[in-house]
Amino acid sequence: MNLGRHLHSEKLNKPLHELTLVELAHALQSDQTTSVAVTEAYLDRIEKYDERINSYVYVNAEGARAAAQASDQRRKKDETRGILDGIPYNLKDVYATKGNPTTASSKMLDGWIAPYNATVYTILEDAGAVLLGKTNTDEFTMGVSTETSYQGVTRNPWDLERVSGGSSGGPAASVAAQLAVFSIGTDTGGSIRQPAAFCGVTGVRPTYGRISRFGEIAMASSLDQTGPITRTAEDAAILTQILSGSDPLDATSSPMIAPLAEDSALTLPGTVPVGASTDKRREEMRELKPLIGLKIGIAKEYFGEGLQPEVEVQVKQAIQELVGLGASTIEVSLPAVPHALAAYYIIAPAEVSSNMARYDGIRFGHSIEKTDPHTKRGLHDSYVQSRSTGLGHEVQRRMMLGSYVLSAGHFDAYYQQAEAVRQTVQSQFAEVFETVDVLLAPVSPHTAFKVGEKISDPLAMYKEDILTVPLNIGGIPGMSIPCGLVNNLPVGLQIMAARGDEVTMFRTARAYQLITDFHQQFAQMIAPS
Amino acid sequence: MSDITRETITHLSSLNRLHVDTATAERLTDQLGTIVAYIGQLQTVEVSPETRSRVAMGVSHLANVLAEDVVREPEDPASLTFADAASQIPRVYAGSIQVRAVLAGQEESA
Repeated sequence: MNLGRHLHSEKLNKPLHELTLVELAHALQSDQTTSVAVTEAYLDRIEKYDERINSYVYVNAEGARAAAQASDQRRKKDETRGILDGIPYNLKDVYATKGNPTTASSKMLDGWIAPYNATVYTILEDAGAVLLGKTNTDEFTMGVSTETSYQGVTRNPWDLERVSGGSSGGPAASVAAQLAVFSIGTDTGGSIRQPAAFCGVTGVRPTYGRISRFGEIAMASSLDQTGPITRTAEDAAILTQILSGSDPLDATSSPMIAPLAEDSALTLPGTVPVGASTDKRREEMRELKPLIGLKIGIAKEYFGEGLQPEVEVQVKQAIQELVGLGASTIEVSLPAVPHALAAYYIIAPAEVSSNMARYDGIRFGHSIEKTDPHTKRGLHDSYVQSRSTGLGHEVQRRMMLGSYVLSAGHFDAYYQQAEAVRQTVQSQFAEVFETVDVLLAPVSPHTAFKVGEKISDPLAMYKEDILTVPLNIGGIPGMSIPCGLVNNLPVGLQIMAARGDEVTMFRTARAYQLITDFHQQFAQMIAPS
Repeated sequence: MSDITRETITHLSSLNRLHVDTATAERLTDQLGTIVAYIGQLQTVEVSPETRSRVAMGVSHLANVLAEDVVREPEDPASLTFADAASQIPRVYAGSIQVRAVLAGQEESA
């Protein structure tokens, strides 16, 4: 990574916690601050503000301080490892890190200390990034609001009465509240994009197979994918590039996906200096039209019934901003997309029922043998009691749904049909991307909802995924970037691209963020009270 | 309408090695009934005969990418030692994972 090409020339002119990854890397490289100072600033903020938000489930204070000191030492000796060296971040609580708790925010893994490292963590550790801790998720990533977490709900920094989204609610809220420079989450059906939209940050779900899943606690293995949550598309592109690559420990991390060439995602012809004001950049970029030739697809299936009118207005205004930079729009149709949600809630639970079978209380995690070791019981009873007391309601519900759709008599009607719809969705996306470069749509039909509003209605919760799941079923990349506020709550713009074409997706997002400042707006609640 | 009944819930909980009490079973019957009715709409979706055949025959345009099996030495960083793997086993007997007897009342085995 050529650090210099990302760096801005201006002096540090805002508090450490407001700096993006690129800005902070510049501040560190130019000796305007140290990793220890930045890490301490974040640890202070976590202590001060996270009690109200509940984004962290584990704070790695000692480890972070040691990593920050080591980074500063390397910098003094001119042995810096690159742009991430000394940058504080957190991981969603589903990545194994040796010696630290990894719980998937479940009682089933409460207290479990991973004996090995996830590949994603190994890459970040080798790059010198500073792990601040683990952040909250719906239990085993099953949910859309973090309300199913054993650790309690993560609240939205923009309105503490509202959810942060899910399942990566902790990662998104922590970045929105400036409690980390970036976070790494997972997206199986929208779990990065929806919380990013609710919290007003940038969240990326790369192409399935682009980033290793080794050491990531599985929910639905054919759909799970790791991705970054950041403040800007620029930061997200850098992280995606660093994390990408085939991993011998994950057979689904595909070498067939074209690599992200260095910096290609960020190159925009005629881009004016980043230091210029947003208005000035918009004016100049509207004249330079750096997106000439970019074809934006608008699929009517994403703008249907149930979409909050104010959200639709914000998304359509965002599209017009990109048209102002030279892009053109084309109306397209994806008739199978409305059926993706039903297909998802067959395929994902089927895989959940299989993946959750490993939690039996025998080898690791919560066990009735620990809490009640003396009662005589058979092996089956040991399984049943461990699993029944360790797994939450939503997890149990999805396991049962998965067993139902896979059972004799239902397999053809549900699972086989869902797989057929999945292939149809994939074919339709592939066909559309022969005509357009990106698809733009809302991320969620509405802004963040209130805590407790939907928790008793599982189907209503599932329908929250309606605009994010098609991408996962299609196996293509997508991201959410902030594109406005409705009643002081963020709205997310969803940018989708052809399989393996993150470069076009990032260029579109970056162009938008160069002429708007929604990604620079922060929740007011985090101001000291 | 779905065919989810209390008996279905009992069967599904048994398959998943879960204990479900009466109140929970009642709630799950309603909830899974609603969810199954929703996902059941998929059965009315028309897919091409070619796609249906491909799925039925287990043929996909995506290729499985499988790694070769590799025997790793204990000191290989990608390998776990037994001590690491066993570090959080609830019950260990003579260096092995101890489990309850398969049938209640039998002697326990390791």
